[in-house]
Amino acid sequence: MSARWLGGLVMCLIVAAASPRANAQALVTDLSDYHVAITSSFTGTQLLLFGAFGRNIDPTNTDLIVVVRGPPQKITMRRRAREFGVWVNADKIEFASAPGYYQVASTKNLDGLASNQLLARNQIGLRYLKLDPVTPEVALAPAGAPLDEYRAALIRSKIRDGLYREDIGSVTFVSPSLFRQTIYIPANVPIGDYRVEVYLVSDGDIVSAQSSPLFIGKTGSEREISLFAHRWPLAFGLIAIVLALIAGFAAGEIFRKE
Amino acid sequence: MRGQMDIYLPIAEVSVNLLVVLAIGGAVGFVSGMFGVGGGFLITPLLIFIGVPPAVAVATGANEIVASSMSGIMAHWRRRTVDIKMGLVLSAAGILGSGAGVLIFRWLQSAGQIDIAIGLSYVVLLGSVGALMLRESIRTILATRSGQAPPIGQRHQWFHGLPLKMRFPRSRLYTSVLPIIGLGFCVGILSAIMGVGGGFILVPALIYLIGMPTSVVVGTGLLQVLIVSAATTIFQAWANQTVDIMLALLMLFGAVVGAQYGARVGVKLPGEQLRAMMGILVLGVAIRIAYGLVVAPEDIYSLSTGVLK
Repeated sequence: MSARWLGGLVMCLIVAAASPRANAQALVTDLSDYHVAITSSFTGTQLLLFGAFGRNIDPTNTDLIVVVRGPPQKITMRRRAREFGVWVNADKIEFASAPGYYQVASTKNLDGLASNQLLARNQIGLRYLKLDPVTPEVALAPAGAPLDEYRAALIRSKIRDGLYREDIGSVTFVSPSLFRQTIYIPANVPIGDYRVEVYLVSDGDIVSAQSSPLFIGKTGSEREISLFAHRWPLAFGLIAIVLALIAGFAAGEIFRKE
Repeated sequence: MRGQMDIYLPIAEVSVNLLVVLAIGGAVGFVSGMFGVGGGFLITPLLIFIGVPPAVAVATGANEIVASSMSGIMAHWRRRTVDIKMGLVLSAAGILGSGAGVLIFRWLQSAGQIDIAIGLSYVVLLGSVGALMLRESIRTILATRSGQAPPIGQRHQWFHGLPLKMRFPRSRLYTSVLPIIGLGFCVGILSAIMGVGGGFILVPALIYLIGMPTSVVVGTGLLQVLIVSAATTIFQAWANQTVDIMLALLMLFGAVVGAQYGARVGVKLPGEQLRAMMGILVLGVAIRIAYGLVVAPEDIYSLSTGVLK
């Protein structure tokens, strides 16, 4: 962990040194890692996002929003109801596309930063995520509860799993024009392509924005095993059995002497 | 606390504690060696409990059962307490049943009721089998204590007289294969739906329905469990890619060791006491799952994911 922070500090200095040049560019950002490798010891990780903005921007009147979006997923939300004393899945709504991961962080409360329309247009904030059902809302069969309750339940469930988070007021200024934000990646994170977006907000308007890619993927034996399982599933199953038989046989032999 | 002992599983795509997985393997192995069951009825709920997705838990459990029943059967093989002929007839029917069970599993999955179906079948089957085993063994223990001869199970039932008679010398039986095939098939279906080997149903059924001598039942049951769970593993890996080889190998490590100690304890204990303990364990799992079905869930909504291609 200390090495990571040291790296972050070095990067912070680099960004700071680069900031005079940022005059031309309103916003410069850098991420401690653009590739998160999932190995067998992966238990989640934290990335550091650093950024600086040019001197022509008044820091006292400037706020920042950081949004991290994971690969889109199709999500089915099921609603339970009690029938004959047992809780069964009674209704469901399928959502066409929801981010597999979503983190929003900002210097201030989102409502005070920009208009609802602006936040909604850029899908900034959990409240403004566009979660549309596969079936258009007008054609949706009654599902025991309104669509909005299903939406809320989806977000609630993702927050519980650590995959959605809102960190209001957590973007911190290291110096008047230098800021920092931690990106939390849990162990159950979906793999794929991510985007890290940074918005510079002033007087209720987005003054500048930066977007960087982030890739989260399996490496080493994790990647090999997973690839093999999907490319040659029958061979994978046979190997799994042979390994199990050998292990069982070996144990039986080892414990033979009684 | 997350630390060095956590390990990321490549197929399940979650991180679990190494010691917890080894402990689950060891406990399941002990039970499997002691009672001659695969222990799948413990693996699936325990893995789901530590956060492994249900589909991966069911498939990986089958893989792990292959190993623990392999090491379990070797002790019986040396003691010559395996009726190979009976085991193979049961297994052939079991593989067919497992295929049918996978189709039922898929249908329930598309209807969105698979978790409730798994829960209910656990409660109904484990509940009734556990209660029956407990009742029988207590009755026998009481009868033995009061000096009476223990009541003999009905050695001959109407279905033993059906056609296609076959001789099973090791079991000292001459009986129709139809009830045996029927039993193997039903156990195969259950193994696919519940992610279990089916030993907990097979063992009592072989004793009380087929009339096999108790001494060969455990070894023969293990043979059927071994073959049917091997078939299930291949099928799950092939069709769903849900076998997590890393998780299976880790559990295996604990399981094979546990199975050896379980087998030693099992040999020392009288059959009736063994059956009573098994009955209590099975009943306990059933009650725990029933509680989960009846009590109001924390959140009545649940989320399931399909990755967009």
